[in-house]
Amino acid sequence: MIEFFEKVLGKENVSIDTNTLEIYSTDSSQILGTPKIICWPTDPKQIHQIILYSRRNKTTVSPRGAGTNLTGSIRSKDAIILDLSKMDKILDKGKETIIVEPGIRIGDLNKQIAPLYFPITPATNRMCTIGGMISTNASGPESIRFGRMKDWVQEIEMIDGSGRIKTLKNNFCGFEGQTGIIVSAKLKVLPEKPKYNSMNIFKFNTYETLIQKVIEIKNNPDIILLEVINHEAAKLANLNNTNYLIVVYTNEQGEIKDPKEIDEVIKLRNTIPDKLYLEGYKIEEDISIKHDNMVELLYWMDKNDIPVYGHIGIGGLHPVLRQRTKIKELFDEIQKLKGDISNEYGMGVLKKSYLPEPIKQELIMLKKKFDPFNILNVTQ
Amino acid sequence: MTIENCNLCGMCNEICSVTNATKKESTSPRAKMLLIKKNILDKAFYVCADPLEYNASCNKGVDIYKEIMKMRQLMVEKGMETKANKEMIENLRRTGNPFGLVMRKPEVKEELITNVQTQRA
Repeated sequence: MIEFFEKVLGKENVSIDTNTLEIYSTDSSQILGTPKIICWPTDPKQIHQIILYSRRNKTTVSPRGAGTNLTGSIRSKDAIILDLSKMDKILDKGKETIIVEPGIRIGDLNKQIAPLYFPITPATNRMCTIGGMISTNASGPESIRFGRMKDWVQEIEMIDGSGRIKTLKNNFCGFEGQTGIIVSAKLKVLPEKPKYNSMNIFKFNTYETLIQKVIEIKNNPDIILLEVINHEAAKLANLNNTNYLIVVYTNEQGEIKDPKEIDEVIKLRNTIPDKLYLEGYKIEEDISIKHDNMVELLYWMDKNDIPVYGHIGIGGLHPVLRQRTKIKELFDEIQKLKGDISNEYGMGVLKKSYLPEPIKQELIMLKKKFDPFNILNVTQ
Repeated sequence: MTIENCNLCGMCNEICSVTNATKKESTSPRAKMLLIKKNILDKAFYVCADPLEYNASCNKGVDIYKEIMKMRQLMVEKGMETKANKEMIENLRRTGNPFGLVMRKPEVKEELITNVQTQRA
């Protein structure tokens, strides 16, 4: 088997070393599955040949970016892993759009295209790759202004499960590598990075008043960041025992205008997940719910000792749990309140059984169309 | 903080100059953390330019440098260090220099000393 891959990719871009397989058997999600072989392709033609090989030999192929997913999006067990980190070039740079390879990290991308700016920057923004972000339809703290990946990716070129090169112009975000291996993407970009010019920090004793405020201000076009830290999370992070709402504006309407102070608050907000982790709250969930039903959910979380923070402007929240046993109760409550159990992290292996029926049907249909041999990112 | 606090988030990968050059997860600090957790000794612990730089990037406060050094020590104890490493240790013992260079005292010419003394006076 190895001879074929060495011929296609070159010796230095293939490995079946036991320890290397062990390293690639997991990622940030800590879901385990030992792969068969690791490949570092540098060209779409190589991916095409690998797909044809796996069709012939009935092995599965799973793409991998930075490995920062938290839901087990990479099905690595017995798979051929395509680590796309070496495909990280900017292929074309225009004034409003750019074309990139999938392995480029968002931090590197924004450095290389400056002053142009790609605005979807998840919390792992230094690390995560464009391919991974398209596959999970990622968003980030600034989602209230910029939305999600699907709003910024104009088209992609991918190699499907039959080995055909396809150009797709819509409905390609969020399929977690199940329909094809992305080989390039055309992205819209901003002429420059928006500035955080002012900020307000509101404190609330009740969730009713907090949500009322969110509904009141969420359509303000000058807001770029609308974040919540509830009193449980604040307490654990050594802040006051109250519910915080952090609002950042791109103009001067906020009371705090000192850039240093704004920067400090943002940094503090970004350390919340790690502070909770060190207090024993290690399971970070990712849900979304309409503002009308949010108050009830927040009180339910209080009752169950679940701290929460997140991008409340779009209804995205990150409840953080101590034990896995609580997850089912949380998901049941969210579904009861007509929320989604996944917002920006994707479904992966962990949430597969909770996939809503219409999305499941759509995925089955797309899978038949693009991957009739069932080899792309699946566990057989 | 000890290795137990590492959840393999991978934020340390970003600043690793070796991983940025190789573009391979297998040379990354996160890979080294995984190997430590599984108690696997591997030459990857020597594929590293500056383990101290990782500590600054860890939001969980894990002392990555110390953990890597512990593994290197274990590898030396078991005779599993790299060939280059063995040579360096031998050179140090023999000459006091990791590259085996014999240090000579610098030669100072008499007239230079006289010049300096005259200037001072």
